Amino acid sequence: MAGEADFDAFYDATNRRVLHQMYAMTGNLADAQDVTQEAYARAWQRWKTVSQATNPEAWIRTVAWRIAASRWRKAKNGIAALARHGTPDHSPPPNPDHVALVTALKQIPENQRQAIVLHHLVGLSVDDIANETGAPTGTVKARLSRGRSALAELLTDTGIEVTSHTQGGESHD
Amino acid sequence: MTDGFDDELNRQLASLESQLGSARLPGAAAARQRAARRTRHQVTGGVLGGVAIIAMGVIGITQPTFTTAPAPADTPSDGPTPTVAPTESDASPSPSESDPTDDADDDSADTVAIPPEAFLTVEDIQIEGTDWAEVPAQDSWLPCVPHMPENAEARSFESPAESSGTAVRLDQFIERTAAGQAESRLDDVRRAVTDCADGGTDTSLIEVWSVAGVGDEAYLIALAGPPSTAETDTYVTIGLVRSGDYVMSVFDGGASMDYIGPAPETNTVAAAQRMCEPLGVECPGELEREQLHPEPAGDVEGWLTATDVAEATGLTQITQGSDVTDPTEGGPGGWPYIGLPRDPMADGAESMEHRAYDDPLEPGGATVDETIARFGDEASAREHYDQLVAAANDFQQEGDVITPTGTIDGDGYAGASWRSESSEFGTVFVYGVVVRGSNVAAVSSGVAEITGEQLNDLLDRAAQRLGG
Repeated sequence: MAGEADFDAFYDATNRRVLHQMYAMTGNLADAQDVTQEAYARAWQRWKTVSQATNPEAWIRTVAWRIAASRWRKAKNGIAALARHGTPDHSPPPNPDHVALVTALKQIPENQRQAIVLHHLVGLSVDDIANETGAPTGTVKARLSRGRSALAELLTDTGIEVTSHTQGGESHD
Repeated sequence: MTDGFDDELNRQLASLESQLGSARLPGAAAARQRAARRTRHQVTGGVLGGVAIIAMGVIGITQPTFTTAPAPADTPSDGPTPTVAPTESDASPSPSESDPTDDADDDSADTVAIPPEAFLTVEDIQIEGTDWAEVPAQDSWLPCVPHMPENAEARSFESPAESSGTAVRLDQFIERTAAGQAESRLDDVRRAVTDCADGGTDTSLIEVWSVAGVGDEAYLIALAGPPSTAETDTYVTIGLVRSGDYVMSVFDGGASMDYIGPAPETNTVAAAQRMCEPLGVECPGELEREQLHPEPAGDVEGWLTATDVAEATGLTQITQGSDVTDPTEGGPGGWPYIGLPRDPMADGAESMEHRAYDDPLEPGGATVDETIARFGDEASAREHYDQLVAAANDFQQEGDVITPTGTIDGDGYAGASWRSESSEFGTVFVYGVVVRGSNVAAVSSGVAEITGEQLNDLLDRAAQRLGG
């Protein structure tokens, strides 16, 4: 079935990249695996239209992020537990820098974390982030600026070199 | 911020990929299977695939049913423009084909007008923060609203997107049938709706319930169909009630990312309440629901029963088990909980299967999962079990506190269990494994109230169900 073949090819080409991005956004590999897989399942449910979108990968990333954010809110409210399914973890031991970075990312607000990952990992411009998240560009700039400042502060005590803190973000547009 | 910091941040983020190690997703086929399970069995949230329902918000029509579409994101919406809202003839069975309403035009039907007070009002469906208004009762854009006979009277209401996050609509019809014809008329309407949902390429039937306690016969149906966008479909809850010689139907729906079952009865009961006195029919009483579609799987030999789960855990709301599914299809397999960090298929298991046990009336609520790995012989099963227990005892995940909660040792079987708590996510998971003969079973749940003792009782029952 052509639809299945297209979907499978899309999945194979993008899932590792999206998993990486969701790991950075969630800070938890099992959660990242589950929300990413869930997003692909949702994509398949409406593949006819998702496949015709300009950027189906952005659709997956957006939906996966929303699932993760929704679960955090539920967990905080004590409403529902988060099922962590996934492949047994045969990952190498955590790199200390990774631990520090993931820990720091988890300490900054969700929207700042999302902006940081979209900009510094996915490589989106401020305008692209604004498009993907539905936030005004000024808001995205502010989130990036605040997120970077917060991260810099949080990482100061770790092994990651931080040369200085300045405000801004416009240079990354 | 300096370029140096940004460069370092870029590098560190990029290098996180190495942390993924050999972790991988279960595969495209598994994603498709997960989606298929969703469509077939939407009401059983939290099955193996970790069905967690997006709760981005609630649109103002029937509280637990819909999730709003996500905030518009340009990229996804760069896709095709939303499907044009179907006309009745687009989305509904053709009157000449599958909608038998022509029969209901039979002049033997009483044409006495339905009193206005028998219909829902704006106040009945108003939810705080939304802005409903009555609209002309024609040209519904909800999918699968059948043509109604001329003697059917209708009321329609809409709440605009500015009010409810997405446009939502409710259509109510009441018709009086010829004496003794209401039963067949209700069947006709029900068949027209379900055939429409099941028969279209862009529609799907999500669930059907029979409901006792409202009218003489009642059903709740949930379906999805157009208009659709890249991210949403139109989800509709339908309530059908036969009461005396009257047939009443309510269609309410709007665009959403997902449908969270079970279909709510709120508007249907309110509508039945409205009509009972003016029409002299019975008013709603205590409701009792039975799920007709998807058909519940029932007990399966070799597996825990829903009664086992309820008795062992005290979770009496758990009353159904899902179909048995193959969790390895399209993926690398592995036990369904990450704290059991050993893949039975890699250790020589010949197959793996999974069932979920839950409350059909509360998807996303309490769920218990059982997974069984079948080996070719007892020695292989035992070896895997021993290695799995050792690995589970050593397993760590940042932020989680994992505590062994005991072992069981029965006639021909053995088991062990653990409890994992995450203060960051506020989550608790209990899980355990048991080996008997050539089979190894894992039981897990995210219900914090399940004690180690209860879990071990459940493992004991699982072992006994496994047989030799």
